[in-house]
Amino acid sequence: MSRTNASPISMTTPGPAGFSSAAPPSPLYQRLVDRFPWYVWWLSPAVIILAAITLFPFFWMIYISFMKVQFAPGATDMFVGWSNWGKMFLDPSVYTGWWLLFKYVATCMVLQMGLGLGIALLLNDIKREGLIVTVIMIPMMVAPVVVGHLFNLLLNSSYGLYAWIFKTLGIYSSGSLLSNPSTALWALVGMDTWEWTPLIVLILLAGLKSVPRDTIEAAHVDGSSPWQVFINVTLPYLRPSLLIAFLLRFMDCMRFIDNNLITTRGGPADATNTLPIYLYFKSFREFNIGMGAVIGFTLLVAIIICALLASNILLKEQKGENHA
Amino acid sequence: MHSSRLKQVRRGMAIGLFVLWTVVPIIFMISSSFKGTGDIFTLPAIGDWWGLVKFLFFFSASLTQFKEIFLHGPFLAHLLHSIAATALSVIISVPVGLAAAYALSRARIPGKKHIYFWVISTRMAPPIAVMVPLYVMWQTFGILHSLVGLVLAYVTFNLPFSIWLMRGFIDAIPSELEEAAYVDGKSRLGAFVDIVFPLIRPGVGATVILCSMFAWNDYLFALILGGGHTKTLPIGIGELASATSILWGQIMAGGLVMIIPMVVLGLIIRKSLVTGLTMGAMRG
Repeated sequence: MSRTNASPISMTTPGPAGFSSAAPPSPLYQRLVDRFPWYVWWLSPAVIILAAITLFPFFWMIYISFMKVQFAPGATDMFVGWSNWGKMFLDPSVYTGWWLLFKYVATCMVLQMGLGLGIALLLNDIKREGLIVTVIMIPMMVAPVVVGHLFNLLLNSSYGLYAWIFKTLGIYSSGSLLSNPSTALWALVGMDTWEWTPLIVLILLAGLKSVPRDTIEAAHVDGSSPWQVFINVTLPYLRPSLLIAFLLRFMDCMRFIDNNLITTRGGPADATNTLPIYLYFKSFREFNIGMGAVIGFTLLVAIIICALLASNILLKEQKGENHA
Repeated sequence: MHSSRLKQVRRGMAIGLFVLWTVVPIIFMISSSFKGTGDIFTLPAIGDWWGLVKFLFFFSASLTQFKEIFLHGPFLAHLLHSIAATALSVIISVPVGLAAAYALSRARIPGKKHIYFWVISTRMAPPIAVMVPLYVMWQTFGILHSLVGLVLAYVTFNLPFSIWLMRGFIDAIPSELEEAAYVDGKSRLGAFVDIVFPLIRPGVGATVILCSMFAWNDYLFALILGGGHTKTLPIGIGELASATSILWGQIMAGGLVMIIPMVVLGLIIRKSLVTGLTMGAMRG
């Protein structure tokens, strides 16, 4: 029964939990162990924990989205039907939130992918590549909370180093970039770019190592220009890494709001009030948890659809690679 | 050959600029943490670049900020909370994840695809959306603002991560090795401990470090589900900036204390860092 295994050789070898078939008459424990295939025992702790802290909350969130949740002692939650959902669709801040999130993610992606690709190409195969890579890796390991406070100080108009440099170069001199509604979102993009472009560089550098050197040399010998070599030789080999870097960063830009929450907190004048930030304020400042659940659910579903698409694209890409 | 020389120089300058843009904030942070409170704000006159270099590198160093955070105030308690929450979440996530990863890698499980999808989508979920039901649940079960609640919250992202990552490492080990051990009369657990585990030990190490990093660096869960008597470092550092005064020196010093262990650990596993952060999609 459960003793069958994927490979023929294990038919003659110990069964489920490894007890030999010649073992003495099995006690209750042994019978219990034998009752299920071996993997059930290895897998169930993780499945039980994950179900309790991810699947269960997911359904609870759907339930909450139809309730008015009350935290006052003695007060019970009230069923309100589709009211939270209706309110969400009529709330202009939700639409602005999606739009700002889109602007933020799109700018981050264009900037980081472009910069990351450029730096990776420049760094590939130079002397001291290892040392430089080690140095530029550091921002990735800095806690977001520290990044937030650090840039708050760097951009501070009276004693921030970056504000000083901007003034000296004559680029910008009116206060902190973070406290100006027309620049705050771009300052956040800059912070994210500072922290995470190195990851893109690392991914692309790993990808560049897969480009066969003799093919490039052959193309050069054939008289192709560097640009032609890049388009026709390097880029096809780099495609999977570019895709991975893009999808990974895209998902993370959508999900994480730490920098925003520490520096601008959605402000000034709602200029950085992206959807996840709006969700934070609705749920944990106004304690309108029902509304929070509705917005959270839509955000979660949108991101899971993106993740599904992403993993499908990646799988296809990898299959294509195997055929080639 | 002249033009290729010029290209070299331009290439070097572009790389130099990027390195500068990357390290200047870090240098600024380090130098600010070793200054007396007044010295942090004494930027040179606008346009005085040499003054700026002096401001960053040549200043009278002092340990005032570190003394202040360690000797006065709750920094040490926050540090301990951070260590406890991080360690406990790793102690739960990695062994449980390792067992599950082994089963997923080696067994023919009906509906395996669905388990994969569940694990990966849990990992991809936006923390702020996850927080809404967790907040209500933790409130209901009375573990809001407690260490238990915070650790469980960290397990929501560390467990799927460690399952996914370690499954990749185990997949790379041919199962013939274990089958040979079964012939020798080893049990499944015995074969795992004696043969598979030693081979994936570096992978497990990388998983431990990355999980620690995620928990240690977390701000949002600590902000909403933590707090109370279990404030962790990110929250403690945030509290140094109040509406009335911002203790920049202490924030920078505290931040430095917070990032040093993670930078060191990250550089130790730098070879597997890319593999880890791309969840195994990329071999670094």
